[in-house]
Formats: sequence, structure tokens, C-alpha cells
Amino acid sequence: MTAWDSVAGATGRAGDGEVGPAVDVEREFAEYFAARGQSLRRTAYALCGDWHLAEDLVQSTFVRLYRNWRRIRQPTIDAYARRTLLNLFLSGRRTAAREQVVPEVPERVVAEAGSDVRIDLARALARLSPRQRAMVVLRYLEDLPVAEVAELVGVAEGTVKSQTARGVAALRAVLDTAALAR
Amino acid sequence: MTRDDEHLRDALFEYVRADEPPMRATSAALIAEGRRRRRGGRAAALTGTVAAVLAVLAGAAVWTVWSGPDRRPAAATATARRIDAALRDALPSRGRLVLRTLEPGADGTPLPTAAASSATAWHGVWESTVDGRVQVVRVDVGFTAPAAACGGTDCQLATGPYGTSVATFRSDGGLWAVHRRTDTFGVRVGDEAPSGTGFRFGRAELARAATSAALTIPAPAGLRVTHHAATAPAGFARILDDAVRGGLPGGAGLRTYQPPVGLSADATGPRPTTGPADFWYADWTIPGQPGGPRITLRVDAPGTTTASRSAARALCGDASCSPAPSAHGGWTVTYEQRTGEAAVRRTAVVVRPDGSRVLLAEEVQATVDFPYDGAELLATAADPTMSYG
Repeated sequence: MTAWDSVAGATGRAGDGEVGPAVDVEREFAEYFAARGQSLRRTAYALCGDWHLAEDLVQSTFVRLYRNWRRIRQPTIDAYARRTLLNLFLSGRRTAAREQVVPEVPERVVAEAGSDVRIDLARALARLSPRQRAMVVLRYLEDLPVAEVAELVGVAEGTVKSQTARGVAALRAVLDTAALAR
Repeated sequence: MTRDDEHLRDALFEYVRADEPPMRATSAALIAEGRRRRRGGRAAALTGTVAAVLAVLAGAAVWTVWSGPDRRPAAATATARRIDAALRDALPSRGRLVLRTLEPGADGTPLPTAAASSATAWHGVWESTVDGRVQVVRVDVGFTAPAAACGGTDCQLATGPYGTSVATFRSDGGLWAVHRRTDTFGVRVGDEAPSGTGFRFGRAELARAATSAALTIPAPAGLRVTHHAATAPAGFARILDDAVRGGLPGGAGLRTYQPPVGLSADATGPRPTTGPADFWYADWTIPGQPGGPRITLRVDAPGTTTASRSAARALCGDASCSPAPSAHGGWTVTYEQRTGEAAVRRTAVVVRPDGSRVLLAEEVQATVDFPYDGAELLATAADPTMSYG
């Protein structure tokens, strides 16, 4: 018996902990937030490239989710959350595009050594159009099938395939270049 | 999904997980804002929402201060929250996970939450119910004595981040994945199914959870993850790449997946470093070769092991092998293992007198032959340039 086993045997009994008597909307919502909040924020960060904006997008997403919680069927919560996040991101990008005065996305300070690939990847992602970036992120980070990405973004499956292929080619070029530069 | 796709996916995962700040929002603040918005209509814009949420958060912080100190130790609750969130994030959403217990422990004994800062391990139990069936997920994270990779039957080895090994096996009615991040720190995630039913999570899903960098605990005072970091010579990445390409027949045509990178081994798993590295890792494929071959290289720093037959033999695990002494007081050994359902890996190891070692491996689908023989691998691994110096 390992140290793990002995401790797990002493402490890891199912049913010993707190169990709430009723499952209400707020508890369901809180559990969903605990389960998916961080993951959605990562998706938001992959979409926008800024942690502060990503947090804002996710907060807005969850506020909308809460307001409609009773109307959303359990199996479709993830899809609803993704669609809300995507709409907020794309609508925000449209607003930002009207207000943008700097020609390029500002470079972030390199906070940690060895993050060159991430910096390159961030730049490559920033060069993609918002929709193309969304397709790549949904397809590769969220691992969604082409059909679901097409439905979320509101384009044909063929468009997802072609746009994703171009976006991925740009990202792979960055990764391949970074590979031997180290 | 092809290897190229996986590589891109891994890069995106690393991109979104590196330097990730803690979440500012809480479900309570979001609920409060959701209620307010429900009452107040739907006119507020995104910025208004954010400002309001921040205001609620600030208010909650002030309320906490006014209400006096939280009786629970902050570190303990923070660790528990982190483990809970990390598990939920790492496992596919397949029925809601309900946390049952998540407790600190030390030396095989449970600790009260107040003493969590001295915990050497945390143990958690979650349940999820789908179609009336209750499934139990267990997690053990912490410092453990070195142990064999597999602690049960039907053991399979999978490749984790930067070539680290993840063992999956059956034990005590559960399916487990164990990621040993260092000699003394490990994470294991288990799925226990009701009798007569299948496991809810597969080996790959459990392995992904066990390798989650977020699934970790802080080291208690006086205990630290063992390091054998050392500074490699300048241009070591190029040196390693050249040695492998120059040593393996047709090596010039290798396609790089992961370029040589120095890594620091800690409780979150290996992470890239430009400073002293515990080990260096790289992998390549052979374009056009059937069976999806993957060539992996790991070069451990001096002091990682002892130059002995038993240390070389221990690397083989359950595989049969016969370590042989090398000319300069070190040891060499080659062995083959099954990895996953239908893949095999052949590894050649050179253990040097200073306790450094080079592991050069080829992994391929079991239906095709290995691209290189053991002697070719071993000769390349013995290249003296692949040394910290």
C-alpha cells in the first residue's frame, strides 16, 4: 500500500462530505461556473489575446447565461455559452474596429523568458480575421467538429474548412519557424 | 486528428494556459449581477455589465473585511478551489461533478483544514450521476515515495507533456491514470464505475486530467520538489538536433515536432526554462514513414541518477532488458514497451558516470516495424556532444 493509498483510504470515502439537500438554479449555475468558467476564459483569451478583455467577455457571458438559465436545456448549456461568448467577441470586435486608431495590436511585454513561441503565436493569431480566428480556436482549442463550428459562426461547413486551413497554415508556419530558431 | 493537428492544439493550449491570471469573477457576484440585470431590463451594454460586476466584487470584498476574518485558512481553501476547478476543467463535461470530499493529508493521515499548509498531499472524491448511475472520480495529488509506474493490472504507458510518462491501469475496481512529475511528486486520477457498468472516462481523458498543470498543490515549508538542474552549453538545442539528425540513418530528413527545449521539473509538470534545466526534450517524425513514427529525445542533467546496473535496469520497468557496462564507467540499455492500445516504443539509454543520461526512443504503431534498430538508437544516444558538459 502506498502513501497515497493509505491516506486515500482514510479520507477519500464517497459521501462523507457536505451534500446539499436541494439542487436549485443558483447552485446549478455556480457549479457550471466552477466547471466551465476557467475553460471559457481561456477560449476567450485565445479569441481576443487579452486577459482583461477575456475576463470581461466571460463575465458578460455568464451574466447572460444566468438570466436565461431556466430556459436553457441542460445538454445545450455549453453551446449556448459558446455562442454567447462568440457573439460578444465578434460584436465587440466590430465596435473596436470602428474605434481603432492604432494600426496594429500592441505588442505585449515579454514577461517570461522562453515564451517566444507564444509571442509568435499571439502575433499570428492577431493577424487572422476575427471570424477566422474564432474558427481556428473553436476547431482546435475547443475541439469542436466542423459542423458545430459552422453553426456557431453562421457560415457554411466548406467555409469553415477553407478558412481554418488558411489560418492553421499561418500558425504552423510560425511554429515551424520557431522550432529551429531555439 | 493528425500529429500536426495535435502539435498545433498543444501550442494553443500552452498559449492560453501560460501566465494565466487568477479569475476575478465569482459565481455569487455573477448571480447578483444577473438578478440585477433581470430586474433592470436588458439595456445595459457590455461595459456596464463589467463595471457592475466589478462593483459587486469590490462590495463583496468590503463586506468580507467588515464581516471579520474568514475562519478557514486562505491557503487551504485556495488549494481546494484550485484542485476542484482544475479537475472540472480537465475532464470532459459528462454529467455534473459534485464534490464530496477534498481534504489535506500528511504521512498517511488526514489533516484538519487548519493545518492544510503542512499537507503533503490532497485527496478528493467527486460524484456524477447520469441516468441514475453514480460514478466516482478520485484524485490524489502530492508528494509520494518513488514507486513503479503501474500500480495495477492492464497497464499502459502514454506520453505526457514533454515526453513524460503517464501510466494508466486498473486497480480496485477503478481505472487510474498516474503522472509522476518528479521522483517524489505525482498526480493520479481515478474513475470508479458501479459494478456491471463501464467507466465514464477513458484512459486518454484520465491521462489528460492527471497531466493538467493546474492540478497541483503548493509545497509545504521545508519540503521541495527534488531538482537536478544544471546549465547546458550555449546552443544546446542546435547541438542536440544536429546529434540526432547526424546519428540516425536518414536523420537529415526528420521533421521537428518539438524542438529541443530545456525544462524545469516541478509540481506542475515540466515547464520550459532558459536557465538551468533538469532535462532537455525534443521530438521528431519521419515524413512519409508508415505507422506515425515519433522519435523522442530526453537528456537528463548530471546527478539525476546513479551510474549503476540497478539504476539502468529500473528504467526498463516491466520490460525485459539487460544493461551493459559502457567503456567509460557508465551503462547502456535498450528495451521495448507497449504504449497505448496499438503502439510500441523502443528506447535506448546511456547512463553516464556523472549521473546524467540520454534516452532516445522511437514510438510507432505496432503493425509496422521500428524505423531504426536498437544499435542505431544506442549509437546516436552515445554521442558525447549530447552532454551538459
